[in-house]
Amino acid sequence: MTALTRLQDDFQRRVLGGDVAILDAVVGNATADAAERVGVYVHAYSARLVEALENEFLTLRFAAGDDTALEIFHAYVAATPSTLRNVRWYGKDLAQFLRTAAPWRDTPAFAELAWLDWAISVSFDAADEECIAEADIAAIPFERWGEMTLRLPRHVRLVTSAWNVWQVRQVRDREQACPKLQRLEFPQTWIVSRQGLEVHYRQLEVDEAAALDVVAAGLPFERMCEVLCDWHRQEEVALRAAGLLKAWIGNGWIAGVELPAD
Amino acid sequence: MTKISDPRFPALGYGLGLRADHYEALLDAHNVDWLEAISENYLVPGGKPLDWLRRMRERYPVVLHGVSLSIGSQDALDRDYLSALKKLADAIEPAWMSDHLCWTGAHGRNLHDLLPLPYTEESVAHVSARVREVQDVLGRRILLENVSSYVEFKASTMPEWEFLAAIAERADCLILLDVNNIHVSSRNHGFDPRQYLAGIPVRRVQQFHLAGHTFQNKLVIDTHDQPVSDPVWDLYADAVRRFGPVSTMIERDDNIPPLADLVAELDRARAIAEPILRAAA
Repeated sequence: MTALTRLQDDFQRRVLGGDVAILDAVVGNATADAAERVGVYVHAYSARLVEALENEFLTLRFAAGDDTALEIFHAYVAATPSTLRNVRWYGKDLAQFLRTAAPWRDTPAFAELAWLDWAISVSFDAADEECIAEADIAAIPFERWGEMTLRLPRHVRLVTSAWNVWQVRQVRDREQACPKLQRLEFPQTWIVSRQGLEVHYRQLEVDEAAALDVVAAGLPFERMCEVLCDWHRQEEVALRAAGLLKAWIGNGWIAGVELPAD
Repeated sequence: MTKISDPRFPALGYGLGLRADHYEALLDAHNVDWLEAISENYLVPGGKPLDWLRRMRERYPVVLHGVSLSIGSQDALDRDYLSALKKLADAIEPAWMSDHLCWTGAHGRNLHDLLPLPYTEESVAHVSARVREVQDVLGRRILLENVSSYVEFKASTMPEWEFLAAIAERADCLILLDVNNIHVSSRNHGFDPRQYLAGIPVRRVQQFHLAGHTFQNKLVIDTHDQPVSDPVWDLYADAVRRFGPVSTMIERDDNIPPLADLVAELDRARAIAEPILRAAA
């Protein structure tokens, strides 16, 4: 081990809350001793990551309150050393953390709020993608429509919630008082997408959500029609499927269509 | 890499850091000659940030300033990061690219901070070799910035300015001299900031940073949340006297004021530098 490697190992262990061996390698003087000096970096580490989370998880902060949100963020930072080059992505596992870590797992809405915020965040700077036009679908022989698979652009995210988290988000956007977190009678699925450069979200009808789940899973159009049979009579399904497809294309939610090789 | 006889790029004048708070205002700004964009803010797949960067590039010269190269780390250079950085540079065509003379983590961990190195021959050799490798990958000469520091290591065998100068010469790279960081570190460690300036080779200095700081718990902290302080303006004047017409840029990352306030600070930089440069001409 080189001297530089040892020094960096010791320094990093101290910043991440470990031993104090690095203090022997640091010059202390009348201005500040070694522990005070290294302490600047120890404090900055958690402060910087917490600040990144505060900027990312706005709905969670709004619903949980700043004090509880701060507790959550500090707990996540303590449990999740960053391995990411860009702090932008540091919050990617917060929702999963809240699903499993005590005491936050006892408030399932927190994980859903984090997931909602992350979906909006990811959509914001997802790749710019061309979307297909109705003519691209019209070019496919009708008898092969059942085989075609549709691809969602990367800015489209489907978020299913058992709690009223989207209501919370909408209220936050309107700068009104936060409603009480409540479990919904039935889960809701919302779609997050970007139109141009702006992120939008709206609730999906239950059959539309199921159909989009099929598309997101990469399954063919005929499977989507089968799923729609749970809500529509056989003779209505084709019309509903075609209507959904037309609307999705109009919304810029379909980035590609493929047919299997003959 | 390609050897260039005059290592410095043409000077750009007086610029600001590109921050989202100022996107709209910068479209119509006056007296801002160029912009410095934090590379990592634009190493994203698409959307609004990249769109704004492209729009700014149409109006201003832009330089890319990174915070996570970790040139001093014992970890291998991150080839994926360098590849993404090169792709961004190819798209934006920055006037130059810079990062910090520091390390940000080891063993795959990232501490998201600009951590100081021991000023040793081992560090000089390690960093110089890696800068050359980075310059080969990027196909361009980079700038390294002196960081503000709160610790010095007992292992150091030379002052910081000798360390920075040695790396710049051995790696054949340029220097982004952060005048505020020199002031901050001089206060924290008790050295003479003018001796620092005197130890830096003139032909290596491509850019100046100016920023604000705060005093917290016995130490001066590089917070970028205040206007540039008077001692830093004084040191800037000395830097202009020594290094000549070097592109100057003001950083503000927190407590961000209206653009007009920063433009007024830029005007102060001009008012300090231009008479010195005219007198020297």
